[in-house]
Amino acid sequence: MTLNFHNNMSSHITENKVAGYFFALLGITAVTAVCLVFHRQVNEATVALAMLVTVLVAAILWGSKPALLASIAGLVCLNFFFLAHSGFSTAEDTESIIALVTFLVTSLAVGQLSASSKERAAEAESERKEAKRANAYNRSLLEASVDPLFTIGKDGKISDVNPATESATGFSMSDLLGTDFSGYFTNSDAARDAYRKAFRDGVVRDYALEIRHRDGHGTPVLYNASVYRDETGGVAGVFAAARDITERKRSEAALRESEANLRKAQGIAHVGSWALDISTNQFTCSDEVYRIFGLRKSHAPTYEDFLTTIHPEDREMVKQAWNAALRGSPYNLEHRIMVGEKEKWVRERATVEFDKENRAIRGIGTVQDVTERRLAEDRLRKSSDEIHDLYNNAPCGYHSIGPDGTIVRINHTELSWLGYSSVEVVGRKRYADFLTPESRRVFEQRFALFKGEGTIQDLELGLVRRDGSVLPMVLSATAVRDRDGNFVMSRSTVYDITARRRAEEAVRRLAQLQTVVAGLGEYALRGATLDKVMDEAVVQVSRALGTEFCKVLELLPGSQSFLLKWGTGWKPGYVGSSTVWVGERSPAGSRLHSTEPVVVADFRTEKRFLPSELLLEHGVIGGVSVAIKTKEGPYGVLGAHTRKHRNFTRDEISFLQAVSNILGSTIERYRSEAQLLRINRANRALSLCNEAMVRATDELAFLQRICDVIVDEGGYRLCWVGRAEDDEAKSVLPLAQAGYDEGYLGSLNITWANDERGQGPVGLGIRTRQTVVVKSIAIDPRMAPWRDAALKRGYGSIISIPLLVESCVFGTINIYAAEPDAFSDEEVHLLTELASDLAFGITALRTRVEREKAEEDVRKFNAELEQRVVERTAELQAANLLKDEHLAREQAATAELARAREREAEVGYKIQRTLLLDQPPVDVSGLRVAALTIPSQRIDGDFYIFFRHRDQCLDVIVGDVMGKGIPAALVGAATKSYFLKALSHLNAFSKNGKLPEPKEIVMLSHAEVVRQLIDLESFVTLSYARLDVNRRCLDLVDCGHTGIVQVHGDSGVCDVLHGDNLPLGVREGEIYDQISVTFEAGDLFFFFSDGITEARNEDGELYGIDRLMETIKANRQLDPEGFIEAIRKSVVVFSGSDRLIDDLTSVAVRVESREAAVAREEVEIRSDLKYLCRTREFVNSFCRRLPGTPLRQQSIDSLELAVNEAACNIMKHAYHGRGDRWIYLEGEAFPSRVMVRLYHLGDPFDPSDLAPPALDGSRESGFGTYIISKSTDDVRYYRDERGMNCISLVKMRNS
Amino acid sequence: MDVAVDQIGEVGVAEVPVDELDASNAPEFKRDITPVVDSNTKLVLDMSRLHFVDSSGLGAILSCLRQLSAKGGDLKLCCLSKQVRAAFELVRMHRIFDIYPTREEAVRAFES
Repeated sequence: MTLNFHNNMSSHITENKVAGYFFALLGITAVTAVCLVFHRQVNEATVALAMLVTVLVAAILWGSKPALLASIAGLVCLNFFFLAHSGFSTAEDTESIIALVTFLVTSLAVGQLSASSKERAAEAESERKEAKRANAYNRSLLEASVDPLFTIGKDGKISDVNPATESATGFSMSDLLGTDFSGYFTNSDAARDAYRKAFRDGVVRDYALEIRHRDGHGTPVLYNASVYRDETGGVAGVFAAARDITERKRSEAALRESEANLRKAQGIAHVGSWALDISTNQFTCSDEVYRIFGLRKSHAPTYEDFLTTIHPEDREMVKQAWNAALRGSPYNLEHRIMVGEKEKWVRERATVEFDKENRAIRGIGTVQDVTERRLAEDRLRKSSDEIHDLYNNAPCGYHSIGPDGTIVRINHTELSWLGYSSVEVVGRKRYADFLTPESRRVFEQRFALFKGEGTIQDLELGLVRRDGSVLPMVLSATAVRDRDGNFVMSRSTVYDITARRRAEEAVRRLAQLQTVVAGLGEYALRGATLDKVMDEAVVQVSRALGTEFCKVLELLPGSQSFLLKWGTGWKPGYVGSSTVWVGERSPAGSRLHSTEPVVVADFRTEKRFLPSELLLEHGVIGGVSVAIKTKEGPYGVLGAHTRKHRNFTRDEISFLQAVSNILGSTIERYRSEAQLLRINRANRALSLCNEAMVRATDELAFLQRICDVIVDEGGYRLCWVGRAEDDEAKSVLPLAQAGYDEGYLGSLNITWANDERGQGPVGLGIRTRQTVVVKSIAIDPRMAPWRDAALKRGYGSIISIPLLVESCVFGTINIYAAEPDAFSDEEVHLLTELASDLAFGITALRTRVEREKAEEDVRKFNAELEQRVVERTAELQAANLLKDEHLAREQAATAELARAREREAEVGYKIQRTLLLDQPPVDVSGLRVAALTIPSQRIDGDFYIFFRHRDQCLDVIVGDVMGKGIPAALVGAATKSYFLKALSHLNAFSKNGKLPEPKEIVMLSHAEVVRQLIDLESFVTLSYARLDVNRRCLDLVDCGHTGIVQVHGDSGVCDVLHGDNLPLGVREGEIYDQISVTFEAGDLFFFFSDGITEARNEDGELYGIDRLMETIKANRQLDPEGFIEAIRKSVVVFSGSDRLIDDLTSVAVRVESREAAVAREEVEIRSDLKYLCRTREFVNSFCRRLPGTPLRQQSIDSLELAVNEAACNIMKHAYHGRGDRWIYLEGEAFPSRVMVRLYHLGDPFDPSDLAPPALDGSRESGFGTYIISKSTDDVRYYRDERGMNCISLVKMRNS
Repeated sequence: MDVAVDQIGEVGVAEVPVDELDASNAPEFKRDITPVVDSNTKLVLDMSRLHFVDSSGLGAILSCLRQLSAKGGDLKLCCLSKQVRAAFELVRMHRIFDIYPTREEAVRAFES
């Protein structure tokens, strides 16, 4: 117990122990002292009691140990001082000993008991205080709790609440107590359920409910409850705590948001985080990791899953890194992964956590998608490589030069140009070391300046390469400077300008060549002769191409060989005579039909072509040839050749082609000029022949004059007229000749018999009566007997034209030209015309000679007679018989004279009919033309000409030559030929096919004819009118003629249209004016000569213009033919005679309303009678297919018969039975009529020459023409503007 | 061309053996009909085949008539188509020839 006491006390009163012990000693001492003082009054018991009280006090106040001390001290004091004063040692006194022991026991007991009770009281007090404190603590806990706490009784009523409950519900404790707890939850049922659950199970944990505040808002809570029991252990109620989880929910939301933000941030940064539990091998990953690796979130990935996504090539590296990390190494690497087909780059960082045993337990890491960065890096690396590559391998040189001119860096390109390696150059060489001396000087000057200025622009330098060759180049540089602006080095670019130089050189060369081409073109245009142009061309080509030889080959007729016509460099004697064979394998021959040039660099290695002898002889080994072409075909070849091996550039070949084109067009131009010249000459010759004809008196002299004219004026080499002799040998006798002959004609020995020597153009011409043209004497087989002789004399081609005099072949006129193929169609036409004039000339001359001879005979006889009368008067009687005889002879001579005169008239008539008076055109749509000439007894020289143009234009020229007889007729013919010539000339030079104006034609004709007319003291009056049906306009040039009459169809008014020009042949240089009038359909124009107005009656009265106008008005409704006939009759009646003094020349033109053709068809038929049925088939098929009203069968039959007859006539008569000619049939249908035209080139056929048919059965033929006229409504025989004869047959559709 | 001749009593009936008689075949016809004309004095030309005749054909037929007339014979024509008849009429030959529509009528005309 003591020990317990001490133990107990020690903890409470340690600080009072000293005081207790002090009190115990002091108290005992005090008691002893007092008792000693008062030992007389007090006994030992009192002292003992006093000491016991002290012990008691010590025990009560300070506990058992001071009490013990006090007990011991009291015992000692009591023993020494009060019990026998013997002290202790003297305790033999038993009483004292007993007193002492009793005292001791008593004091110990008192001390111990009082100390123990005090301790108990203190403990009880302490327990009470503790309980009170605990209660207050609990209550304060309850009060302080932020969670609503409440107790519920067994009845479900609230028995206690804390303030948090009050604030959560909004009700005060007094309101709450005793009310049903469930009413304070939003879900009362759930609250009750929780309550029941607590009763059932004793406890409910985290049951989510919501407390409803009186203001309606809810507080989410977790309901925790447990039952509490009463003293007996029965359930007294439920203690419930509702944990307010509003904050928690808010933090949860905040956490969720924060996690979402993290995910988002990871997404943005492409960083994912992961943790790997190494023991379970399970990953925990952020969303971004799934995204990066393309894994599905539903499946928790393992380390192996990640490993499979790693790029196969990186997989081993990743494995090793991870294994190292597991051993403690840092894990930080980039590797590729394959997500589907896509390759991605990721950076992975991780730390591995280890346990105490150093076992890896967990890995935590991040993974970042660095694909974009990697790609950017790749691109950067690539671009850096590219820049490096560009620097080194760019197609230009780059280098840098230090301040002292040393090369500090240089790219591969420039090194390769130089032929050095980098080691040899960089830091060792100065740039100037690589330059030509001149460039070096320039460079050093510029470089010195460059260091200050900082740029060099396009400095052209020559770079000397290792092999010594010089490379032209251009250098540009900029300076690189340090921060202080000091020159560090250059940045230089260098371009190889070899190609540019070459191009510049090529351009210069081209310009040079073009200059030559232009010069040649200009030279050719300036009018130099062809020879000069060609000579110049070969020299220029040879000079421009630097070839020793140049040639122009002309293709000879027959296309078998070329002539070296012009050239330079060739040995003397070759040009002009050497020929080259045309072979496919000769360069020249192969060029002929090709547009491609032939280029032979070296014949010795050439496979395609063989050199010609010409080239071989001159040691030529190479060259280029191009064809010279003209519109008419190949002309020849232009070639440039050399003894050296050389290549020709494209520019040079083009140059040669350009030159060849110029030469081609020059040749064309010269040809056409030459042709024009020849036509002009032929025209001139024709005029002169006409003139000669007028003046000729002697046939041979006339022929000679013709030959002279043809050679002198026509520019032909030889001309001769041969007469076909009717001897046995059928020889041809040259009558006249002019030109270069050299014994040619003497050696000819020509015959017109059908043997070998009769096959030449002359014999053939005589036999066939056809013009024969030998285009090339050199190749025409018919010329075999005379070829050598002809070629020797430089004849190239021949035309032989038969001369038909009085329907017999007189002979031929033969014209020789120096050039082959000299006679163009137009020329042939002109020459043929000339020949026909010539033949007429001969006829006329013969007639005149005959007449003159007869006259001479008469004169002779008269003179003779007179002389004889004088001489023999005496013998007169005797000579009666003789006189009779003489008279008879005279009569005969007179008759002969009359016959000769008649013949002259006949010839004049023929001239007029054939030369002066054209057939009026019958097929000008919109115009109907009729013409009339009643020749007078003496030929008058009246003429009219019709020029039919395209586009419904008709020129009508009516003229009258002053004077009469054959001379007037010939002047008329000549004038007419001048008009023809002027028209063809102006047409040839007209632009855009525009017709020359009548006044132009008149003026040109006049300019040609005026001199001759003045010389002949003659003049010509003339009306030149052009009727333009489309424009409804008539242009008139009236040259002193009678004027023309316009009869207006609608009103019948007649106007006489007059100009005021002089006749032709009055004054040189006369200007002719033109007037224009309009006309309408139905108008009639009447052209006439003064033969009408100057016709006289027996009383010498003139017919006159007034009478003419009356007659015109009276007959104006007639068709032109009828109208003219009416005029004629009127004049004849007036003059009382049909033998008029003057010609009655008149032309009437009616303007018709035009009718368009509805069908047209044509066919060509051989002139053989066996094809006659074809004409009928044509008519039948054409007529049966007409649109509109069909032609009646009877009309078809009639037309068929008429066409048959017309064709038959053409075959039999126009073509004289020759079956190899052609008849062209043209069918044309109009709404009112059907027309068939038969064209042919045979003799013209005039039915008016024929006798009327015998219809009495006395003759078996001669019905054809009659049948034609009876079967059709209109028949016309005419010659069209192409020179074809035409029979036009019309059948009206309503007939 | 073969000219077929039917002898009906004294009368020879010859058929013009072509469809068309024109300048191309008229001389041939004239040549080939001559023996027939020579051997007959009374001749009928049956022209039923003929549907075209031109002036030459007419001339050939006229020649037959003239030859027969010269030796006192006569020629009659029959079976002329419309077109052939029109050609005869055009040159008034229908007045010179005796023309009958049928062969029989032509032969009978000789007999009367």
